[in-house]
Amino acid sequence: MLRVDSLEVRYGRLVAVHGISLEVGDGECVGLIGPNGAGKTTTLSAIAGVLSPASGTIEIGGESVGGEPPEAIVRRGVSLVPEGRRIFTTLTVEENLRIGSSTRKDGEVDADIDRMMERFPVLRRYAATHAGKLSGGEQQQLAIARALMSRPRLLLLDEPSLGLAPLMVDLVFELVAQLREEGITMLLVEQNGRRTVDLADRTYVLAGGRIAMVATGVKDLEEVERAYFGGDAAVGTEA
Amino acid sequence: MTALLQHVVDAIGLASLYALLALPVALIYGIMGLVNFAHGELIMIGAYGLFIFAALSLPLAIFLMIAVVIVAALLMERSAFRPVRGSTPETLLVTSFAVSFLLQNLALMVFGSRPKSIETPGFLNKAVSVGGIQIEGVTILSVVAATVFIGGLVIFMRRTNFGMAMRAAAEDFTMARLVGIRANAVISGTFAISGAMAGVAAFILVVQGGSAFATMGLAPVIIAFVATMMGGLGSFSGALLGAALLGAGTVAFEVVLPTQLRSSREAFVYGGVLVLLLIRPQGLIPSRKERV
Repeated sequence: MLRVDSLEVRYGRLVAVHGISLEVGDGECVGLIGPNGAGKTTTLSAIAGVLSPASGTIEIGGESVGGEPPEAIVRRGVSLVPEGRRIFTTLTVEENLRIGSSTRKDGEVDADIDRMMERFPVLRRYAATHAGKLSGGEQQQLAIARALMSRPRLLLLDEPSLGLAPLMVDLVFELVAQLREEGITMLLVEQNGRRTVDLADRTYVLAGGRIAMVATGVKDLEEVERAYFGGDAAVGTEA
Repeated sequence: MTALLQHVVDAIGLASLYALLALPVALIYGIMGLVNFAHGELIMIGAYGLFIFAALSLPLAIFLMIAVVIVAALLMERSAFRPVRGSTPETLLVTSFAVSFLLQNLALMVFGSRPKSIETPGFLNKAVSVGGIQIEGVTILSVVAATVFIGGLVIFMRRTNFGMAMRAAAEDFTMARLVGIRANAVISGTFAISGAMAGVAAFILVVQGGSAFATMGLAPVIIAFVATMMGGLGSFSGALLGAALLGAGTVAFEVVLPTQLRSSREAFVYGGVLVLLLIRPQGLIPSRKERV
């Protein structure tokens, strides 16, 4: 589904991602974790087309897409739930869902909106409300629902649990687990290392813009915590 | 009482014209962070369009002129602003100045420095008397045009998918692209709307001034800019409020100032604007935008 090879991304002269390679197969849930500034968001931004790679290749479904703008990437079936949610606060909740279907021309958009509201009852309750009035957790649900409205083949999630109350964090991880059950291919960026490793098929550990290791179980994670971060505080042991 | 009503009517007429000037500037700023000083030159192009099409019947001339201004707005975006899209606000601003001066000088070369007088139907400058209040035809035209455009835009923005895309793009342009909204389509569409509004404003200004000249876009664009600044750059309702205040303020100063100061009423109006911006630098209704 997604193959990233030797990706390098820069901000001006600053290199944020140093030639990383990763893969997400069809139906897989792959994690990408690491401390602040490791290059997680930068990597996702490059995949989503917000940033252009300085070098290296990004392939989606076998086709090279590096340098394509975001509106082209989303038409290839890749949908991003961005860091900080970035829902449209001046649009209503329903409009936020509808705008998530901007790439679609089929007649099932209304039915899909209904399905999303079925799945996230809070969205039905506040359908006509400006989305800016929702709480953080509600906004996160809306951001995920908006991304699903494009019927993506690959869902990119950028720190969906960041800044949420513990109960909401549980809810978000539960939701990601559900989506995984439903066979949605996902690349999940998180600071919450343990829960991500628990959930994902594989988890890439990013440090200083490079992939430090690939973890498949919590044991791997403990090893990397010792080696790279000097103890288990650094890689997301927070709730 | 009649005198007061007369001032209110004058203020509404002026505010309507100002709204027609300010809205397109606010729309474009809201979407791409560009203060388009060359908007005045779109008005100038419209005025010369009326001069060129003067031999045709008036409705046809207006229709063709607005079409020409829309095309000019699209070309302006395509050739000058698209290459610098996403640059710093300063770069965008300087680009718009460059386009503005280029078009002014082009007009000087083609049409010369003497204003070209344009005939418009006499009834537009005649006042009808309604219960002792004098209302000029052009005032009615301004109010109708502003109402149609504001009402039409509100419906368009609320009810259509393109309008929804414009609102989303105005709030967070990158995120709008991430959900699949085509940047070029939204920006071109916004420029086309600004072109149509510039065309309508050009007609009203020609009715009032009777001629087309190269630098005629300067005064209206400054009014548009000040009104949008007062309202809070980039916010639709802010631009309307700014236009209303600027129109009302201009009429109010004309009324209250002693006769010998009346000719410098603009100084008082803009002094008032300055005070307002000192108190509320973000404008009255700032847009809820997070620029990335």
